[in-house]
Amino acid sequence: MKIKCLTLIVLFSFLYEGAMFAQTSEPAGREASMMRLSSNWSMDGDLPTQSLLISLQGVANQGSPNLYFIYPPAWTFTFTEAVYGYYQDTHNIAFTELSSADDALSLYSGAADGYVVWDDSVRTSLIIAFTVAGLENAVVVNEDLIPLVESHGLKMVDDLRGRYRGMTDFQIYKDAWDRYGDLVSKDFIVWMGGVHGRRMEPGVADFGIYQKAFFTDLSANARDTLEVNLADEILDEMNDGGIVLGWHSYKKDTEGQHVTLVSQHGLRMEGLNSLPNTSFNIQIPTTPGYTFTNNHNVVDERTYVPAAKVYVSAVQTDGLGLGAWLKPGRGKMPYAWEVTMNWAWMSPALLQFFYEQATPNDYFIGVLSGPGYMYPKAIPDDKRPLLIDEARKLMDTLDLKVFEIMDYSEGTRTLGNLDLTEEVVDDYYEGMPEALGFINGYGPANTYDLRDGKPLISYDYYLGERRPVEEAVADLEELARMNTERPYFLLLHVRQWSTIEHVIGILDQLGPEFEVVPLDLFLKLASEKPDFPTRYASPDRLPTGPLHAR
Amino acid sequence: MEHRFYRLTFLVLIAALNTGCRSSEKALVPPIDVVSETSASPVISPHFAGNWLLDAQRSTAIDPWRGLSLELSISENLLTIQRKWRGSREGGTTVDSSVVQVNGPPASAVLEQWPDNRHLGAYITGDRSKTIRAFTLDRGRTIGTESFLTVSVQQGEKQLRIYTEYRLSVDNDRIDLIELRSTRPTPTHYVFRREVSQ
Repeated sequence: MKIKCLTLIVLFSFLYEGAMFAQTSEPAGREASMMRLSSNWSMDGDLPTQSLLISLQGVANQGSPNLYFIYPPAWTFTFTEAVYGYYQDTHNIAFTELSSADDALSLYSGAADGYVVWDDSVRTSLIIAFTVAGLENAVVVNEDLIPLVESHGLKMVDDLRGRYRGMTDFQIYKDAWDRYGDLVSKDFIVWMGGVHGRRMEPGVADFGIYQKAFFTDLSANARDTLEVNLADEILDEMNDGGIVLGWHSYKKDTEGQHVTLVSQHGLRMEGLNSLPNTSFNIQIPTTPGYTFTNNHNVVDERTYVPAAKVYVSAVQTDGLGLGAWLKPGRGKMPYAWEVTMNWAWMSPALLQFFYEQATPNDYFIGVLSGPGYMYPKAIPDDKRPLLIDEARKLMDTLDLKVFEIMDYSEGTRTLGNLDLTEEVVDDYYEGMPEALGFINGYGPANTYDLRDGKPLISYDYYLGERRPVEEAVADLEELARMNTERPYFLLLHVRQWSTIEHVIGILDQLGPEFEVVPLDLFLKLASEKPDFPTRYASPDRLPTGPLHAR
Repeated sequence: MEHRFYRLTFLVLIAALNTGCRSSEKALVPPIDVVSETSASPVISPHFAGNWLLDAQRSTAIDPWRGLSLELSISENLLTIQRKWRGSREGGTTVDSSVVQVNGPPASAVLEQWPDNRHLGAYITGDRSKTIRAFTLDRGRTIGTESFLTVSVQQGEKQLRIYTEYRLSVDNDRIDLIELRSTRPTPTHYVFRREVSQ
């Protein structure tokens, strides 16, 4: 029987509000362990040991934050080394460094109730082993690592060797769902996607184990009928507002297909499969009395009059912790950063780390379509207002005044329709009355609105990290010729892999007619003299995108 | 005689662009063999016909597309130009196809989209079509086209005028596609190599 317990929405409200206000003194001193992970994530290399360690982390951090990993420099999330220092300096955590899995087991094997063996010859069996690890409070090992864990007194709780040989992923996950579906969390589920083949980067597995989540990488590609239907069935069992951790499989489907499927169930995506240390971070509150404060540039009492210029504002894609934040150049120009809002309760001190590092030129905005990553056109109409309201609460906690919407449920900028319907736009205006404005798209889109002095502006340009400088300059000049009225408000989306130095190198080549301004000022100026007619998703833009789940 | 006007316009534009280059930069557009062109020929070189693949190393960037191929076919004086844009990160292919009478009246071609620059907030609109005329130059070794289409941009609708030359190399194994768009300050230059059948 499907049991709908207290919604996550209410639970999380308590969680992050508690994290914000429970502290009234200096952080209590803590002791914890730190270990550096290698850069080898191959099944034939270090993946077995790293999987063991990450599963141990999920088990060892039950009850208190004990084990923290520093990921290699090339890891997608770039902050683990910097946050390690930050936790010591500001959160009074004293770390002891561990140098091997043997060391880690010596300290924390007592927290585990046993081990589960995955099958070296069936990659998917490792994903199933993570599910078992959460349910059995166990660590995951391949055959070679059994002597190591047994030397620390652990007993086998399950053995997947041979169980799944010769089976398709659909058959494996069907078997696993039949075995564990009634036992796993209905508030969290993990899509252990990302890289494929002989590699896996299961950084988020600690948190999935911590939450006793089901792990999968089922396809959302319509051509994979059996997998899509099973994914549909499983997501249907999740509680309202539930969270899909991880990421889609690069082998099986696209981001657009996957997030569309998640959104169709009113669930929210929280990427990526490589998200590190969340079982640790969720237990580290902000420092006593800390409140999140943004660098606002608009003063209520002041009158803003736009000049006959091309106003440019830059927003980095894909959330904090990825890309340019820790690279040189930040602070040299106004830049907007997409805040991963659920970190307010999932990793509050990590979010504090970013807020405290912000320069006056760094401006935070709320993302992405809801309290997590979602596509509003795919969310059922009756669920959208509640999710927008939850996003509004997070915006309030995090002092965010601008909200970003993205929708790839009808394809992409190359083949699709990124525009929003009027009904969707209505929901945001009604659900976020405190917002200064909204932005839309990923690639460029053509949805525009202005209500009560609050504009909704779509991206007019996407700057990919490989776009040659001379072409990017010509692109921006071309847009200024296509849009001949002044002021012209040119919203720029910058792929996270582009450094700010790269962006400056492009913008510096534009003429004096161009002026770069912070995003909140950009929206305020646009509200004073909008250069766009109100527009929504139009029949002129055919939804010709790649196949989606439904 | 209209093609001579286009030719002259093109030459002036190229000269202006190259004059505008900084001295340290290479010319944006290869020099034109002006001597060879004094009058148009109604006959297109048969060597244009076939499938051509983009040489990305020598071409203007086409990102986010991952590939571009060109298929030209000629029947009498009816020219079919098909450009196939392949696979972004998210997958998908789109084809931009035109059938036009060479040195004849303009033709209309329906477009699935305007694929030329998907970084820009400019999407095909209106009746989702372009008008195109084609003419020959350089005794049939260059095909010129001029097309008009309307895109939806932030401030409304904008008509684009696109002048294109397809130039066949001396050894007939390369096409240089040079394009001037009324809104773009720089030309686009694509190099295509003849597809070798396996």
